[in-house]
Amino acid sequence: MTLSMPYLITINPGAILNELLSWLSYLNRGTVLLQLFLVGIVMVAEQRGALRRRMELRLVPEYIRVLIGPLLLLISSGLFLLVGLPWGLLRYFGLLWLGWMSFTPLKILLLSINKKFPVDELESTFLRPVYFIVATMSFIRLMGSTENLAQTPIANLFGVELTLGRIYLAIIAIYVIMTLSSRPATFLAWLSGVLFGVRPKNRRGMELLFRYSVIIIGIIGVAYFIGIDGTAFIAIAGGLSVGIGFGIKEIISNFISGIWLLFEGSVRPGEILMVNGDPCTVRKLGLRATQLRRGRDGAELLIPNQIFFTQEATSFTATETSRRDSVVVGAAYEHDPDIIVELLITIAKEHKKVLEYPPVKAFVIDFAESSINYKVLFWVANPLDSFEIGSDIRRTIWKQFEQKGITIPFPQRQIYPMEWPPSLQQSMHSAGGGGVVTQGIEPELTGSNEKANGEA
Amino acid sequence: MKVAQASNENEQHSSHRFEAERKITRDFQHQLIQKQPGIKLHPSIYPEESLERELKVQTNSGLGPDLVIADSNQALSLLALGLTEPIKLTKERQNLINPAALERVKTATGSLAGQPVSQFLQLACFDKRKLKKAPTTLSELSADSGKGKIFGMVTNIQDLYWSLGSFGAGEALTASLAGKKATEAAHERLTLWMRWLKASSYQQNIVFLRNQAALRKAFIQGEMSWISCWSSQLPQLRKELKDHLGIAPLPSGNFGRATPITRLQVWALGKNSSKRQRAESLHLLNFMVQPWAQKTYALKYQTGFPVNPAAALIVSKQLPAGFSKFSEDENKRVSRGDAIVSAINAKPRLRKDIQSTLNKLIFDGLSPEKAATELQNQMKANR
Repeated sequence: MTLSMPYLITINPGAILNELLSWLSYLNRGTVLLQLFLVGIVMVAEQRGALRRRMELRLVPEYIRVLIGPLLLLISSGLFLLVGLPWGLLRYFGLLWLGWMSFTPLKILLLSINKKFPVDELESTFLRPVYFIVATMSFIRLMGSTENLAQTPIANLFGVELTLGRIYLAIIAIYVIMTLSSRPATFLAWLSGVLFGVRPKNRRGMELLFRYSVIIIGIIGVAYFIGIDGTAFIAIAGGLSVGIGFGIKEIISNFISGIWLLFEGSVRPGEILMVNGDPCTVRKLGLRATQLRRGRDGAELLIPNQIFFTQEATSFTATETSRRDSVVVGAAYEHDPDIIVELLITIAKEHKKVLEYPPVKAFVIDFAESSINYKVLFWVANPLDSFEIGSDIRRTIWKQFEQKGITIPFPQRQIYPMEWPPSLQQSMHSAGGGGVVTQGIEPELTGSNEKANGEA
Repeated sequence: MKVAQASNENEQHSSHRFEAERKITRDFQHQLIQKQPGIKLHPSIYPEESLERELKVQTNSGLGPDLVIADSNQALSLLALGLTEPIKLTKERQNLINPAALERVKTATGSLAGQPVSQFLQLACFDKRKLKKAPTTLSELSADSGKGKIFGMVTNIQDLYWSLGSFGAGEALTASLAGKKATEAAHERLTLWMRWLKASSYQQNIVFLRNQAALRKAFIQGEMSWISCWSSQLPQLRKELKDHLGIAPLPSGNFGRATPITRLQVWALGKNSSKRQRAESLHLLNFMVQPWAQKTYALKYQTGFPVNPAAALIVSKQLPAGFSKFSEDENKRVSRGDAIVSAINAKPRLRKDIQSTLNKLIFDGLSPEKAATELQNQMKANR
């Protein structure tokens, strides 16, 4: 297939450069230079901290003090207005600066109203993009170039003339679709839950599928808006297929893996997976990567979707959520293993979060060097709780053993300077093995201690 | 040099807005560079209604344009708002411009809001494939519409004013604007015009649309045989209809000839220019009214009539029919209409009231007699 001329991509930045260069003609004007000079001076003074140091107001918080610079610009714009000089540039930069600096006080205010308010998310997904759009649009408007820049054709994509205005709008539209698509998707998923009784866990997956659909429909809509029609889509698809082969294979592979995992239902948001031996909760199944939260330290892990697709993963929640965990403990040889096993089962059963069924089991697992080792196995409903439950059970075992006089022996090592030939005393020392010592007591000569315990 | 230009096109918001004007402007830039290599223009086109707002923002910041291109009404209001500077023209230069045009940019204090450069006329545009010859009288128009030819007009006073002349109804409006009672005969003539409007609205083949852009679109799409149009829009129509586009004067009536409205293209001086930019602007303004430039650009773009009487004389013979009939005498004849329409346009409230009366007359059941009285009362009250 040969591509005819209109299918080529051509870019023509000349007109825009020309328009941008025309802005330089404003530098011919004294009033413009004066305003820019003043803005420069205030900004440099602010950078060097001169404004804040002068204020010497330690009581005023930092986020209020940073407003001094922009306010100075706004005041001077008022003075310019009074004198009859052009003042709009000073006001523009003053407001721009003020807007930027007021993010922090605004965040503090919102947090003081509601501590759970997602201020950082609001700032990064809404406030800053809106700020950027408003700042650029008002600047171009100030320069008198809105219509010119908007209507300037800068590129020709598959026979479609793209003007700067359309590209700008398309970028904003795609951003808005990407960030806001979750809302209608959540609603649809909720609706499907209400209407068709879809379980909450499955709803998360459906929500994502709906979200992708909204994004795809949105992007196609934007493409049609900028004039890319069916023919151009075919041309783009042709180009993409080559692109997929070479450059963007990984991206597409991750994307498709993500969708597949959603359908399969193995890696859905809310699932608990073992990653390198740590239980992690799946937070988000993204376009490229899955976001997990590691239970141990709360770290956020971003793992490319195709890893889950191509490698094995341990899930505790794929079909059912309960997990079997165990605690290993050693008790001295003199205690009856039956009593210990019974005690361990009772301790585990009494824990609130340990499931009644499947039942708790305890086993003697080893006649070890200094102790008989036992293992108590129990089931928990939520895998993420098992760590905490294990700790609880260990604490209770210690307390119960202490109460019932059951000792947990451990091997001890004592180091003495060697004498040669060894004296009788030293030989006796070295013969002492693992002593049974309760916690907090300085170990004594183990041999005699053991004896004493045995007699008791 | 930054130039702000108000659009004449009355375009709707669309991706191709101002396309025709941008093309002319770009072409003009290239032409100018050849003649005046030192002057580089950077024009921006604004919709007429937002020009004042945009200029205010820019001028307050010291980033205002060096030149503003607008019509005479807008030039006057820009000067009143302090967004442009009055222009001082030497006697010599004033002699290069026709006095009626200069009068239209003069403020109450006698200063000039700008320099007229060109004059746009109201004309009749017709599709030669559908109409062999444009009607020269309103009765011919009515007869043609009876034969299935479709005629299109716009329902605002500025675009309908031409037909007032055919009934001699302008006199009643002038009297009302002056706060006087119109003579019985003048009132009767205004009522006659209203009757004609009403009767036309009843005709199946005379279509009234709300704005010029919609009318032009319908004409281009072949839905109409004849429309009232503006010379400033000819390039767009020519591009679409090519040789099939016919241009003619608007039809006359029993009482007299049609009184088309003219619109001046006025170049005004921006407020923020540096000394060098101002000198360049003045140099360009001088160049633009010289006979050579007047003649060349009028013939090249064929959108406007020169304001320089000497150039007008040369050009009128070579312009298409409709244009060619326009002369200095004609200019004087239609100046009353220009004054009335300017006065109405300067008062948004009055314009809205008149629009509402015309809509009620054309689309609803308001009688011509009542409409004539209502119109005069509105003009008296809002003058």
